[in-house]
Amino acid sequence: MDLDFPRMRRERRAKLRDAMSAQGMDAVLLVGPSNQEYAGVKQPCADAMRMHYEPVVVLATVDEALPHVWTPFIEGVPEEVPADHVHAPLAIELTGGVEALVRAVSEVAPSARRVGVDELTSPMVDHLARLSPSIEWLDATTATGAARICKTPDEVECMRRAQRINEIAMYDVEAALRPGVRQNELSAIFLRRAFELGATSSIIDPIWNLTPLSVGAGTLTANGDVGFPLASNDRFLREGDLVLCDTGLTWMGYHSDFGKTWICAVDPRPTPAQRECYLRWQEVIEAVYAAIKPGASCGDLDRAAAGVEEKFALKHFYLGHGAGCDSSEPPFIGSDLGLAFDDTVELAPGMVFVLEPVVWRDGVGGYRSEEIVVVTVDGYERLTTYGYTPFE
Amino acid sequence: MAPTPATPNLGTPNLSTSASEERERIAFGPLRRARRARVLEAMERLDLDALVLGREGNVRYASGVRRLWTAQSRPFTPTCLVMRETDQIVLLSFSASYEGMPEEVLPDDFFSVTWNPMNFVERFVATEGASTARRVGVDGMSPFFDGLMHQAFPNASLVGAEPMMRELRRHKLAAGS
Repeated sequence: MDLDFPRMRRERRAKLRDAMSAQGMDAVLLVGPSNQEYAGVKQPCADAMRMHYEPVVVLATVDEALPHVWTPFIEGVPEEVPADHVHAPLAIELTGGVEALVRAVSEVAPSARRVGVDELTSPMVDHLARLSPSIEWLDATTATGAARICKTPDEVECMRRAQRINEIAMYDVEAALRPGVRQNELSAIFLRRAFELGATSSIIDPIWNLTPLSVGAGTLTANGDVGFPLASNDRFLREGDLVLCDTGLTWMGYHSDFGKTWICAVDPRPTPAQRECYLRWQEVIEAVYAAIKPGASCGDLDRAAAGVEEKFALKHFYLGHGAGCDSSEPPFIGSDLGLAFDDTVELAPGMVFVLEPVVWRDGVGGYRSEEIVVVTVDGYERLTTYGYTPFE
Repeated sequence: MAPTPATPNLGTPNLSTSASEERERIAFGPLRRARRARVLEAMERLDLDALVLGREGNVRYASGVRRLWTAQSRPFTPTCLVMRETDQIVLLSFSASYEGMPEEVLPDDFFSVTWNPMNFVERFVATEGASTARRVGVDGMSPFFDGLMHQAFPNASLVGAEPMMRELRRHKLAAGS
């Protein structure tokens, strides 16, 4: 489709204002990078939320179409934001910066009384409420979460393209999967190719999980389930290793998510019992697909999966998770939030989530794959296109 | 003719990515213990009974655990608890596996990633000293977790502790510390 970034930003900000209005908020003060991205403002780099030295602050009000931005990174401010809305950076990691922040908010939004904030720096914990007695500080994520959960067509297209970059890079990795290769070589192939293809950032250490065929043969785990995900290092892959891979990147602020099960071998072939795991996994995913439609609940998806395979996910993970400006965001499906919670979350067009069921037979191994879907007006559409070698 | 620059002796042609901690090519054990001792000393100085960290660099410094790195998108989550009195660390791990954990973090003191925030409260509240802690340092917070932290530490006030961690991390330790 024809991707229109100004339209995407405009529509997101309108949704954010609607969500603020629904929550009775006059404004939201955004410190978290993914919420800033949603408001149209980019961070200078993909740091793990730690903007110690180049903090960006965004204030979106319910009355104004465009946000105020305090940033040292002018390139991250979209063209439609006027010059009088772009300000010198605030040092919110320091007490004086929080004092300046409070002054700045009172100058640009003097009537704001109920203001959401998503994250607090350490000096904000100590001083924000004290310095701003006229403001009631609320949880901004009630508004940002509501705005973000359903994607616009432009957002879906960004995710499709992010996933495409991820998949093309992974073809090169799968081709290199031979006994004797090291995990860090696979990471290097993936990252080099992903950035050559235009990825904006890598958002997780690439995972090449060497997975023993039984839980007992692996390392001690906290929950008695499969040890996953394990950090990659320079160890060799050997003939017959079962590899659960998981990678992710961003393109224009949107996350991909790629997970497959591979076998490291000169001529990779699953055992008949391993292929049975894969076939059962296909039954699970097809049952879940059949349940996806607007008006269904996340609990309906849990029940569809459990109808085929009672334990359809690793204990500490889930059947699925939302994705967008974060790699894992609402809705969470089949997680430890519980079925009763999942029954309260209704699927709606534009909702994007990553389904990642696992079928495991201890002693045999198992199968895991991640599939990104978007809910449409009459069902769903898949964004993942990669196949299931060597199991299919 | 310009002098040939000295070739550094790296000791091995492969310095590794993240495996070196396992191979003990550097004495990481003493380094981790020295860092942790400095954290505990600083907590004593600031009269912090507990320290709750969410920033990955701080968590790595205090716990010695190199968790899976994720970037850009992780919202603030308090995932590492340090207790001054008992020197106990309670840590969230992205994996259920104990692989890569240093010996100072005991097998019962980590929990795998969770999506239900009440699980954080339960882990923290069950920690010896949580119910009596008076001052809890935090390196960041969110309004949502702020409410939960007051459930986990019912008698404590939250105190910004990022300046403390920044000061500790600014001064690097010499080899063999």
